[in-house]
Amino acid sequence: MLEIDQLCVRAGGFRLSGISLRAALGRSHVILGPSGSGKTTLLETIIGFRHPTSGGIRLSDLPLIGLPIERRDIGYLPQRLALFPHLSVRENLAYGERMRRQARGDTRRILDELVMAADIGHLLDRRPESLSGGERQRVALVRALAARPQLLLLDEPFSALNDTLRRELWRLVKALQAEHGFTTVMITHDLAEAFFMGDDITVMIEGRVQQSGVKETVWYRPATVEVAHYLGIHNLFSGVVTNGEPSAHDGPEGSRIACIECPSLGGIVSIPQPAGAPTWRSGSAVTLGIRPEFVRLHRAADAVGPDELLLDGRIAEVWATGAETALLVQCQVPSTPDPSAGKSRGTPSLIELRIGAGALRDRIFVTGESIQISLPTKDLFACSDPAPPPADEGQSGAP
Amino acid sequence: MNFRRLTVLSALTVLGIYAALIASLAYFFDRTAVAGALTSERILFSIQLSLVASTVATGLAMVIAIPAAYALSRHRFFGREVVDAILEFPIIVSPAALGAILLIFFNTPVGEWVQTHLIRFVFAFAGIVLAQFVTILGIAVRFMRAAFDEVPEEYERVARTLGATPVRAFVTVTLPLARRGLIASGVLAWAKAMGEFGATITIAGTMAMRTETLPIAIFMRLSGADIEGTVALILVLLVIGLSALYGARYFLRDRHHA
Repeated sequence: MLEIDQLCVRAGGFRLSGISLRAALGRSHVILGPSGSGKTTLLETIIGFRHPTSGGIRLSDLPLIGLPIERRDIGYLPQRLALFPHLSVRENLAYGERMRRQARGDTRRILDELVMAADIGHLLDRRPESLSGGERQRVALVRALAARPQLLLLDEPFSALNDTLRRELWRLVKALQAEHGFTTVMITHDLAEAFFMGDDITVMIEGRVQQSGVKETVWYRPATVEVAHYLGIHNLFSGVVTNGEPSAHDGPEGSRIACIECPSLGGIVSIPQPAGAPTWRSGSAVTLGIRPEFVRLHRAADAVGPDELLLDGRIAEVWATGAETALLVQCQVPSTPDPSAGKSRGTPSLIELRIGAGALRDRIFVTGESIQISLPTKDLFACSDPAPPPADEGQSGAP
Repeated sequence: MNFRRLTVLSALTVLGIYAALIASLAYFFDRTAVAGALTSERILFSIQLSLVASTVATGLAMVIAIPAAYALSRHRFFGREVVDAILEFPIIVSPAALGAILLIFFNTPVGEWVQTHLIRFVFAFAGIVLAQFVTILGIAVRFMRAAFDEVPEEYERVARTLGATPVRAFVTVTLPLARRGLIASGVLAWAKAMGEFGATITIAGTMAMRTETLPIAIFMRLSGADIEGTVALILVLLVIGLSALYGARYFLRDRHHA
């Protein structure tokens, strides 16, 4: 397991502050964040290219700070791959064994297996400059894994490839990981790549960990507005918690219900809080959100469930990508009495929904068209802005 | 005239200036004088002295320049900017001044102690090597640093993660990748040492069959109004220098395409 505790790093004018995360053995941990968020600085510190000002890094209980890079047992796949241009593919692959001199007994067998799995046997006598982009990636991956590192660090190595090649390499990394059991930490700013590759996801913004947890938790229940924005969620509505205390009668199977006054959604919205979600104090300001793919187009014939918010609106914008159609809907929120504040007016809001191209193939959407949309309350999440509240496991912190 | 033509014309002007200067040698070219120069024991000694001294000076400069250039290219350290600036010292200070500084140094107590107890430099072979060494060291470091700058640091980093120590990563990855630039820098430094005159004559003098290098021999011939002999020696120096430069370029290009 890779354990990072309260790591602080200074890199020129940039700082990483109090970074803590865990990457469990055999799991794939993706560090996600925009450019300049400190992902690469963190990766370089784990490898040993940078020295932290404080904090600790341990790999399988071995402290890495102060340990020479060559003794850290970490494989590294950089963005530009860095295949040695003066060596053949075969020499590149054998470089690690040559440097370690004392080869591990089954190094050769492992290398042969990796070469076969990555299908690069026919490239061994070629020079890196003569390889295609995908071939270079595969060679660099096998070279990094040939020494059987405990941990493989990937620094956006697939960002320059087309979609087909990228998916092929994602599958290859996953297959090799399943076969050899190494841990991976991958940095990327690509959301699809993060979701496919990661078992766990850490979102970093401006040198800080905003949220870290199992993929589904981070993806579907962002802890902060910044994380939600970064994950492409713009359906965010300000609200105030009216009662967030756990109660015995609330929710099935011990889950809790948070009641949030949200004028943009027509009044008080009750959302189930999964186990491990933060406890909100009454009166605290929160932001409600929902992923656009969870917003549904409501048809007249559809029944409205008790856990759905039904909203009328007009299509403000339509754009289709071929795979899906995205609608931006200007909602007319019904006026509802507000028992806590005495207000009775809702605030119109723009809500984005995405419909898979196969779902409504013959439906043509027109700007200005009146439609109804529904928001399942089970898919709504509450998050804080800017800092997350004290959290227990699952929503924030270690997976 | 468009911009491309203007720049190409400038490049051809450079060629024209140097070609005209070299061509002017033909006016005083004398085959007998050349033959005489190539068979003269004194001139052959000067050629040999220049070849040996410049090779030793270049070798010594490389020993310091390669690690120094690597440090300047890769590491940030206290005094780095000062070191970087001082590389131009031999260019800023005229060669004669550089020789004078060396002479002055050997007249200080430390210099006298070095001369008495270690090596005699003034009016000696070691002085020639020293003069050439200090002249080319800064240039060698500057050129070699550029060669290391051309090699992305990422190669070394990956080598380290593959189990190489810093020294082995340098020897097995950085050095081979910077090889062409380093050899080109070495050849250029050697050619510069071959042609060094001002500092050498100041510290080593003009003693025939002792400290008379090829450039000094040229100066001595010119002082004696022996124009044909001067031209012959210039051509010898020119052939040696250009052969080395083109030989290195051909060797590197050939290896690159292999």
